[in-house]
Amino acid sequence: MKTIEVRNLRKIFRRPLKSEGFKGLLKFYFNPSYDEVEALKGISFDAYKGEILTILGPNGAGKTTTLKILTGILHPTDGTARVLGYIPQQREREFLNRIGFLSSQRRFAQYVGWDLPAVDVFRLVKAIYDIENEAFRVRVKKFVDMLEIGEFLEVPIRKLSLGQRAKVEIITAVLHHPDVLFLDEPTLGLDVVAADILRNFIIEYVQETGSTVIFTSHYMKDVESLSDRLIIIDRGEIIFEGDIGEIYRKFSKFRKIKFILEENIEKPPFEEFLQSHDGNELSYTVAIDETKEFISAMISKYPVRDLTVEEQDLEDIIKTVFRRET
Amino acid sequence: MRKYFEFALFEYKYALRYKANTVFSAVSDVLRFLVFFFLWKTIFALKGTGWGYSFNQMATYYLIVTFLQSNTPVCWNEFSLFIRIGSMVNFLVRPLNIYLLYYFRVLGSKFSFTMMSLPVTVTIFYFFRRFFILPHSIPAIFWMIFFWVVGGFIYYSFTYLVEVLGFWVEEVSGFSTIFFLIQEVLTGAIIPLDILPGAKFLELLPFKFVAYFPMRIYFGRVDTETILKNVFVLFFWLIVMILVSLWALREGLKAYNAPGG
Repeated sequence: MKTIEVRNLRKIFRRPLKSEGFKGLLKFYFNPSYDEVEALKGISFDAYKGEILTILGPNGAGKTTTLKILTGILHPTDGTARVLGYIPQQREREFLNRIGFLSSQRRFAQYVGWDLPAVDVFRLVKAIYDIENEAFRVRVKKFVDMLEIGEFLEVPIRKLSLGQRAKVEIITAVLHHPDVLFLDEPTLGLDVVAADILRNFIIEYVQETGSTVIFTSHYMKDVESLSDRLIIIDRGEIIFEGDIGEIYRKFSKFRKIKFILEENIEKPPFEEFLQSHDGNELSYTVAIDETKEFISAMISKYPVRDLTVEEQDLEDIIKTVFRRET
Repeated sequence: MRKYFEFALFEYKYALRYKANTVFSAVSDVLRFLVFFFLWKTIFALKGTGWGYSFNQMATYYLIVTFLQSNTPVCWNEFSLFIRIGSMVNFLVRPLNIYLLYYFRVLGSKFSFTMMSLPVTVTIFYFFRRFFILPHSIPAIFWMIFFWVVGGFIYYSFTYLVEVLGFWVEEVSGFSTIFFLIQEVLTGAIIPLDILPGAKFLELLPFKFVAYFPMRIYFGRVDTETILKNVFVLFFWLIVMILVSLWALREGLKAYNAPGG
């Protein structure tokens, strides 16, 4: 079932231009000039119930702008967006009850309860969404256990670490069981353990509720662990839409091949493809369509004890896509 | 509405944590009262009576107006700051009416302030009790509170509109400073409006309901017909301000760039 429908979405921001120095300041006051930035250039995509969709892109690509339009915070310049059948900008109560949003700043709890404990912030969320007592109790217990923050519930928000605060913030975004959850760089600034816990939490949440999750990220680990489908956006345009397998099929050009030979060798062959050499261990990067011939050639020349073939790192592929080197 | 009360309670608890700040705010109220008290003492000594108020009425006026002013809800400048830095999104994505949300948040905080500053106010009452005039009647207290509470919401709406300007301009503190300077005169906080020239025009504005008009009722200077006429004026402004406030937020959101992540 389609939960999000985006068609030809455009967003143009008008920015004041301020030149440097006192003269620039005077000019800004008496004769201000502006430029226009087209943050989104007519993008279209859909998202479905139970799907985790990643929007990936470099800084300034238009990822957060897309999320802000879908949550009704920004008005598009042109085009349409529908979430759960609602036009987000109309900010209908029912629509707002059915979505959750975690901004990359992750500061709801911080702003409303800096000096108060997380448990008070959760009670506030309960009141905002009118969550029933029993459902609230069960969900808080479950989420708190999953995110391992039970011992911090009574601690004022300001005394929590960044990771602990991020976990509190995500609970405030999902406590009402939104049908569509928007996460803007949810693992930003978290250590590997906290990021891992958060990713598992998102997966379990989707499995249990069947919600749609749209998240933006810079981290390949997020993409690999979470994404059912991926949209790569750059300079306001969608340059790829599909699953991770498609990314490899479409953009991966090389494979990493590692040989462990029976004996050490001093001068490795095929030096133009060689990445590293240590005694009997040799690593090569070879074009995909030459992989088979390359392996055959190596095996015919040297006795091979072991060999592994790895796909190119997703991060490297994405970098290539961003640089439009495809 | 329960969620807004919950926010008010939240802010109440929150404000209780800043005891020192509350005490200093209360002390600033005492200083404000003392400035007006001695100013009028000097004026009465130099120029005698003829202001339409006795000295005791003037002292009572400033004592109560200072209390009313301190406890009238004012939209926090956090509002425009959150617009500017993009943090307003945390509220906008939730089923909350931002206009009511900030009103209740301010109320919670004000209530906490009132509770903690009450001993200071009572102390002033005690020391200046010989100047203090009691209210005209029990219904006068009711009407006084009624006009102040509803007028307070209208007053809040004005301060909210100043903050909403943050959707269009980067910095609203200039507008805010001008507003707070003007309102000191328009509410009658600096001087009772009937002493001022042009009082008839000022009485058409809603600012009088948070200071000057409740005090006129307190002194028994308003007849029933005038009270009822002013109920009409009050509700006219209330409806106007609610409509303008809701419209301003809707238009502001259309212009909003929601900066930051």
